Amino acid sequence: MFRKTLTLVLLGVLFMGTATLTYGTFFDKGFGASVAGIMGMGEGDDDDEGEHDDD
Amino acid sequence: MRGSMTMTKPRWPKPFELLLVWHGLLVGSYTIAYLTAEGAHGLHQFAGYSALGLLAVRLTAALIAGERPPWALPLPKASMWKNFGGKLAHGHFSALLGRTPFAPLSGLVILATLVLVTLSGLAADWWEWEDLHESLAEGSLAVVLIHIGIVSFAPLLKKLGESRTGTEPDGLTRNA
Repeated sequence: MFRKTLTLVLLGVLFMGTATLTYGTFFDKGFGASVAGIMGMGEGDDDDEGEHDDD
Repeated sequence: MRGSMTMTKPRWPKPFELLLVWHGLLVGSYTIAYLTAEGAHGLHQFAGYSALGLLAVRLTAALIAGERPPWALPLPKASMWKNFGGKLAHGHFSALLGRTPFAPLSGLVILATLVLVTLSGLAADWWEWEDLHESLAEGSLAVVLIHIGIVSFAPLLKKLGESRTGTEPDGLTRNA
């Protein structure tokens, strides 16, 4: 049972990782930025919402 | 078409298998939300809302299931504590190898913690609740690690015992 649970946990991480990557690729900042984001190396979202105060 | 292949009849997944799938998806969304917390707000929101949805599904299922396992809330029953405590009091430490009441207790604590984390994340989308959300999320990691430790302890101990008895020559007794 422990092995089955562990397998499904890993599959769940893989599935959610793929789903998030798909979302990020098509609806957020693109593939490269999404891969970096999932790996914990994202660059932040300062310009995310189009709030350009300096303009 | 007739062939020599043996056909396995497809069957619906059992409720417990569905619970394991749900558990896997929740772990996945928590992991991705944790990894994307610092630098990828959009992805963090996606994973966070997924976790929130999964928690809503779990709580709704628990509400419908009532006390019927496996979707009932993992409440450690008083009889379970009594039985476990009694075994330990009599020196039957093999009780630690089975399912201890700490496993459902840690599951319940995790559920409650993650509900707070995801709801505070939801609130942080509208109000200035980022600090509360971050603090709860950081704290939740400790709860998750404790849960992993508790549920892995018994199988690992069992495995260790099996490997020891497998390598030891017969007739030798170990100091308990």
